[in-house]
Amino acid sequence: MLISGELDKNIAYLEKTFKDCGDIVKRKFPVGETRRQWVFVIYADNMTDRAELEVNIINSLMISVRYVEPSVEELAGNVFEGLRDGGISSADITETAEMDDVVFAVLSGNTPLLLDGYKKALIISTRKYPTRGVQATDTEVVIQGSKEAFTEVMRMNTALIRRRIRDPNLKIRQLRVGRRSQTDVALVYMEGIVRPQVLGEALKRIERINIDAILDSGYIEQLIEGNWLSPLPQAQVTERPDKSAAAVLEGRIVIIVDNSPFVLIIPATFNTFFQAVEDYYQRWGIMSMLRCLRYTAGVLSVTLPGLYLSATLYHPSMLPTVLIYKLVESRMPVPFPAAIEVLIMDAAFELLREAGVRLPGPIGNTIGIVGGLIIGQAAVEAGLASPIVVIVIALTGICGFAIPHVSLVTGFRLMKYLILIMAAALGLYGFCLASIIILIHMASLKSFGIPYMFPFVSGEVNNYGDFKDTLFRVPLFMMKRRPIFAKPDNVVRQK
Amino acid sequence: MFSCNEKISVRQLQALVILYVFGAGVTVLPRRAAEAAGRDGWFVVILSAALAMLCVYVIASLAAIFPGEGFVDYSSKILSKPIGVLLGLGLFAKIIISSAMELRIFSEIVQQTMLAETPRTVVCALMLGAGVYAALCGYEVRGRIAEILLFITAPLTLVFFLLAAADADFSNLMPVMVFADACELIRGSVTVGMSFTGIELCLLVFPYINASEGGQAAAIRPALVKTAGLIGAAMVMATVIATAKFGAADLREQQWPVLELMDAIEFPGSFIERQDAIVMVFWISSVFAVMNAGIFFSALLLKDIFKKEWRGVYIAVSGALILGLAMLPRSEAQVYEIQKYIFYTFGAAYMIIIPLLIIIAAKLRKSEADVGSSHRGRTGREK
Amino acid sequence: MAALMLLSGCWDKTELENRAYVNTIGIDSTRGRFTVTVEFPRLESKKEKTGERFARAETAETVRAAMRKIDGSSDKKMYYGHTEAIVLGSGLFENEGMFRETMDALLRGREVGRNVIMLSSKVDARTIIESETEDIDCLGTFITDYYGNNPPDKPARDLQGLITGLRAGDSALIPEIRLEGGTYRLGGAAVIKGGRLVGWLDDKRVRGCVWITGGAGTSGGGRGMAVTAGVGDSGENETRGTLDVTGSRREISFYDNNGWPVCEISLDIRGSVEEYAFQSEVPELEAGGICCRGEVRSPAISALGSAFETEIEEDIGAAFDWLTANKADALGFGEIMRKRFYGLYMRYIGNWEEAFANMTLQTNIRVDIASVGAVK
Repeated sequence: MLISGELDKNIAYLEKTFKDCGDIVKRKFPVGETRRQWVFVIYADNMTDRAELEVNIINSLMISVRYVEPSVEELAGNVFEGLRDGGISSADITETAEMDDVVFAVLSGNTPLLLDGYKKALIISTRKYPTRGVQATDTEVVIQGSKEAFTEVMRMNTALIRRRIRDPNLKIRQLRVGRRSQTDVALVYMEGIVRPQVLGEALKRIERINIDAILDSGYIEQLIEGNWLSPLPQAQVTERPDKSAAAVLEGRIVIIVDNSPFVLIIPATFNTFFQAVEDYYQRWGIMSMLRCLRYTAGVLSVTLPGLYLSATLYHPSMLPTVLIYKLVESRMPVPFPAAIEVLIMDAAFELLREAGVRLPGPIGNTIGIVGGLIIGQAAVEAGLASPIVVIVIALTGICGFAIPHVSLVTGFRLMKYLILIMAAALGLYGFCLASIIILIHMASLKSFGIPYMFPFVSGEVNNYGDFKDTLFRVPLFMMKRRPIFAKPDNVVRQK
Repeated sequence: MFSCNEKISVRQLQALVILYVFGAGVTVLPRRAAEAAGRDGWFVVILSAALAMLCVYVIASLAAIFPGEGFVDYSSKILSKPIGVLLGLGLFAKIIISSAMELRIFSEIVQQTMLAETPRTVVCALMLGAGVYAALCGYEVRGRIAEILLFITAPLTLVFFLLAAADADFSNLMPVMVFADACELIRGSVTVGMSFTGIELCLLVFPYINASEGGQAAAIRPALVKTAGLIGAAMVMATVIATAKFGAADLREQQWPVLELMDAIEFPGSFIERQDAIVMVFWISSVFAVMNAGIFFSALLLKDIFKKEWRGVYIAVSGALILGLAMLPRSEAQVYEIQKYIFYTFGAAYMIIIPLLIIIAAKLRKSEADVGSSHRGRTGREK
Repeated sequence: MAALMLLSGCWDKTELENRAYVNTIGIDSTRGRFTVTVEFPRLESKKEKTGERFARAETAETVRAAMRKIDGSSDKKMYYGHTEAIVLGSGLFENEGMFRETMDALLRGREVGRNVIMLSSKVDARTIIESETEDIDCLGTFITDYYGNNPPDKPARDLQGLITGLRAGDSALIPEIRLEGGTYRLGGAAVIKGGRLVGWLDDKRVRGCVWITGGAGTSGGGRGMAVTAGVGDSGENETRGTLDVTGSRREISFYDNNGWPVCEISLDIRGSVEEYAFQSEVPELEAGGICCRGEVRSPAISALGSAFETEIEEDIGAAFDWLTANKADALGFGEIMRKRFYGLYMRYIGNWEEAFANMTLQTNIRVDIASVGAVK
């Protein structure tokens, strides 16, 4: 709907639109010495910077403009341009002729200014949201490295990335997603390094979203992923600006969603989930060992209960004799079959984990310790479980915690059950088959065109160069080329 | 990679072939070699490997003549459509039967070493289920899975073989080649060649290789020949180590020598007492590769023959056929008989005879076409 | 629900505590039938005393039938995957058929691994296994630990080695286990030919066998062995010492002499002597004259060296003579000849037994005392 030339009509429309909205403030006031030009501002309370509004707009228009040549009366007929170019001392002004833009501006925290007699409005940027500021990360803690985390304000997040990459090729493409929420979504990428197909695909998928509201980046993640049936994540989620900047420099795309401190990084391969940001800040020797450890932990967190069950139930010959005797002795008082025992302890562990997440601060930690030690011990004493099962389950859980990305671990937690059931039913044969099925599934996944299991498959596409950063990390001076995500003609990053 | 799931790279093709042929063949290979030539079985294996490389060379040469075409298509082109379809059906039957026999043997082994009381049907059905799942996902996924499985199992297998070699008494191979009787050795190499079955599947892969059109033959042929050589070398190593460990006499009587070999390894540190179950991991992966290939290629042949895109249906039919056939034989001895029969008829045919026929026919046709076109060219100018 | 059903019991699942982990198997023949004795440890969650073990014995027509009977008499399922040792009673060797049947049973069934240690005993295996001994958890574990922790002058023979030996020459050596004074003792061996017992070797001859075969099947032939010898007349004038062998090299070759083979064994042994009693003090040694490698300065030491050589030669000779006298090629001479001296082997192939019986021995033994320990 177009803005009408009559201010009162516009005001009536706005009043009708914002009926029952108690937080919308309207002010109609005259400008000029003769006070004949009427001006109307409307804004949302506490979403705008009241100080800027009062100083730069209202003070300027009401008071300062009277003392500056040319006066409002002299401008007659060109008041709009005059005020725009000489009356308002704000740095960010746009014009519009659409009423929808005016409404949207109010809802975004900007202040539209309507003049009587003119069919255009000025939209002045006065956004100031209540926000918590840049704080330290909770979920991805490092010992050596930046401790900043993203916040809920998209502009601050883009600033945090921009600060780290002072290259004009760093592009931030903004979209609005969500019919009612009109959430700002920004795609951050390096022009010239990112693969155009990936960028095109990402844009296509985001533009395809047709939903009421996007409340968090998780919504975007679920709506653009390629395979919704898979338990494994196809996009990385992070809270850290340095990690996002590194990803952008590799040719990946960072998707920042307003109101969400977690950003998405696509494309994501299996290997990227094992890369922690601290890997690159410390020296290569220890970090390579930790990387191997993480991979081992990842494998164990899926396979350990299955291995335990297949070894004890079907192939005790795999274990040393003395261990077998100890196991038998510890299992004697337990009335349940081994598989049920494992499931019970596993369920208990998952419950403890969930409970610990929900409980506030100190209680959460205590429950963790209490649950782990005492309940585990009590279970053994009561004969509900044998000590070895408690150890196996605890080790599985700990191995899960060693993986830097929680989303991958949740996927593993689901896959662990498949292997557990098959191993309990058919021993090592079932275990192998379940592992093969999981591997097939992982091999069939693609994240925006790149195979999920890269570089373990199709490694030669990038001359096996990606192996320099998988199971171990070679020294920085050897990492001369960018990984597969980058455009093939722009791969040298270090000489 | 950035395309749909239908093209694989040459490397992945190599991984697939290795997993298939080595896995399917190596378990009984040392026994066949010992039966053929006793102590000098390893030499027979070398001869068979050479034969296999020759067959692969011939098959891959077809790629030069018909780049990017399916088996039924190009054989129809050269040898007329009914024959092409017949050949396709023959290959289909061969793949189904040999996959079924392989599955049956595998289930016997699983029954004897791992799960004594689980019904064979369950063992087979589950393995086929995994194969069907992989076949449904497309050729590229198969290639990737082969790469991953090879990545995991090859170092393990190598380590096992080396450990076995450390303990073996290589004097069991002596005296070397004293009884060398050329005819017997050559006859033996054909029998042992049975273990290289699976190479004829390369007839079907040309449309799915991700190499530049003109360079397909240039890329595929040397890669495949190298792969056959590598497999041959690995088989020779397995035979040598098995003969060294057990001696030719004992080897002749063992049902599954490689399994016994793995069982007899002394792990340093001896944390694990008996590791035959762990070795089965390698073997389960390779049988999976075999089943997967069987289902996939038979479905492919059906598609080529019937020319309709009912992928799910074809795969289901192939899977059901393989399961049914696997349950049929009454005993293991019967299975080996069937395998031998199939090899000497279909196997040999598809491995070398039919490719040669097609090449010869193609060359003949080409020379006819050349003469024809040059003739037409002259008449054209005259006009 | 489906998961719960699957997890509570499938076809093959056996809970850990429902198995009896057989540690030792003993096989005897009783009046033409097989008696199988199995031993497994008693496992309980609250143990009052350690080291308890069960032994059960049953008799049946075949080995496997006896095993099934034992299985039937216990509430647990017998599991042979952890069997460490098999004891064959001497009664088995009386009858060729029974011995071969036993071997067959062990081989065809795959429950017992091929690494189990084989032992023979002069009395019934059942007596050996069922005896009450102190400080021993289970016989099988005792035996494996024994072979693992003790020097190689008592050779171990596992099932795979036994089978290879039997297939090659139909003759084998099985170490012996005895009960002496309430404890087990390993020493000596039974020699089997054609499925029948030919005789028993004593410790000296067994040592000789070890020297001939170069050790207990693994590398380091001779290392860890010890030879004790003395020079001079016994009593006060004797010089005695013990040689600790650190390394040895053995070469066997054959040649023909008047139609019969001659076996030539050359042994190069290196060792150290760290305890000796000398008739008199030796000035060179006291003054710090430690023998350097390969060069023995003291006449007493060299005399001791010759004494060691003689001792070893006697051991070898004793073993060799016994074996040839009994026509039992238990150490695989025929195999060695076949592998490395094929032409020669072909000459005797018609009547190898006779040839073996008439084979003579020639030994070249050299002992090199490399060190005599630290100087006082």
